[in-house]
Amino acid sequence: MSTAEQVPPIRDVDEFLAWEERQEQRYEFVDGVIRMMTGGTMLHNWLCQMLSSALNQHLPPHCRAFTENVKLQVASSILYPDVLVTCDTGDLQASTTTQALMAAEVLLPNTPKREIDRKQRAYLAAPGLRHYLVVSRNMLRVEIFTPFAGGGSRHDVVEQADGAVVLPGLDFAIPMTAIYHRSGLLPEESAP
Amino acid sequence: MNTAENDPSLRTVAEFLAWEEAQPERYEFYDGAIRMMVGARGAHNTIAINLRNALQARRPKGCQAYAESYKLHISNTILYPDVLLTCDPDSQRNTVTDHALLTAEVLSPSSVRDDNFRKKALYLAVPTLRHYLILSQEYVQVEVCSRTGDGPVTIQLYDRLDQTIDLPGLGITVPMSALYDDTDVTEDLTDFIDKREAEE
Repeated sequence: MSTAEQVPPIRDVDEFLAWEERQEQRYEFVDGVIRMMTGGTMLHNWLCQMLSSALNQHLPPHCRAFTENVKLQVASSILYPDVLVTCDTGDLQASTTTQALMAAEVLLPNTPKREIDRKQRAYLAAPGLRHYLVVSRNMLRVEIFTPFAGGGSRHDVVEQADGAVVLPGLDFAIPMTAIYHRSGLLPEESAP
Repeated sequence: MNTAENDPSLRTVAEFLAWEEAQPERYEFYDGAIRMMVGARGAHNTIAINLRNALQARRPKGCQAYAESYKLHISNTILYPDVLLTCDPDSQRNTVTDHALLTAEVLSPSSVRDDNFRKKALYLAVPTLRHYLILSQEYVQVEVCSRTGDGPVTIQLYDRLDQTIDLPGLGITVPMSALYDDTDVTEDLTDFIDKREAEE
C-alpha cells in the first residue's frame, strides 16, 4: 500500500511529522525512509471497518479503535496501521500516539514478503503492544502475533469461518464472521 | 521453486515413491498432485548447506541432518525439506522418513505466500516436529517456529549476524553467522527494500 518517495532531507521523526503535516497525502516513515500511502480498495476499507467496529463495541470507554489515518510512533518510525487500538485518547486532536494496544494490517496476497517482514518487525517492537494482526483480504485468514516480554512471539492462525480471533491481551474474541461480514469471503455469503 | 504436474495414475504415497525412484528429477507429492523440484540459485544452496552442517556438528546423539535430498512423509504428502533433522534410527538406510525433529526452508524471492503457509501447516502436522525454520536468502532473517508438547506454536525472529539461535527442542544453539557464512546477504532490510524498489 505504499510507494517510495523523494522528499527534502528529513533526519528524524520530529522533522518528518512537521513536513508530513503540510502534505496532502499520508506518508509513513520507517527508519529514515519515507513512503507514500496509496489508496485502497473498497474491500480493504470494509475489512478495516468491520474489525474496528467489533473492537469499539467491546473496548472500555477510554480506549478506541481507529482505522487508517491515526499515526503510531515506534522508536524512529511512524506507521499508519490499518486498524489501531489505543487507550491514549485524552487528546482527540492528536494525530500521533506512541501507545498501541493492538495494530492490524489488511494485506494483499501479493504483498512482497520483505514488506510483510518490515511491518512485522516495526509493530512487534512497539512497547506495550499486546497483539499484531495480519488480515488476509483474498481469503479467510487472520494471523495473530502476540509478543512475549522477553522477545519472540506466539503465532496463531485462524482460517475457519466458525472460528474466532482470540485476543487475550484485550480480553476479547472476535468471530471470523464479524470481521468478514459481507466481504464475499464467507462460505454462506455470495460475492460482493 | 517447483512446477506443477499431474499424473492421475499416482494416488497413494506408495505409488508415488515407486514412480519417483525411477525419475532423474526430484518430485514432491501433495495428496495426489506432483511437483517437480527445480534448481535454485547459489545463496539458497549455500544457506541450506550451512544450516545442515551447523546442525550436523551439534546434533543430538543418534540423529542426522540432511540437506535437499531427504524425503519427509506427512499423511498423503511427500516433501523435500531444504534441511531436515531426524532421529529415525533407520534414516541412513532409507530415503524417506516420517520422523522429523526439525525442518527448514530457504525461501526463494519468488515464493508465494500461500505456498509458504501450506508448507508450514504441513510441517507442523508432523507429530515429532519441534522446530521449523524459515530462512531468507534476500536479507539476514531466520524465523524459528517452535512447539513444545501440545502448547501453541511460538515464533522467534532473528535478524542479526551476532545473534545465536536457540533450539530447545534439540537442546542446541546455532550462531546466525554460521548460516550466512560465504554469502553476501545483507543485514539491513530497509536498505534491501530501497535497492529492490530502485530496480523495479
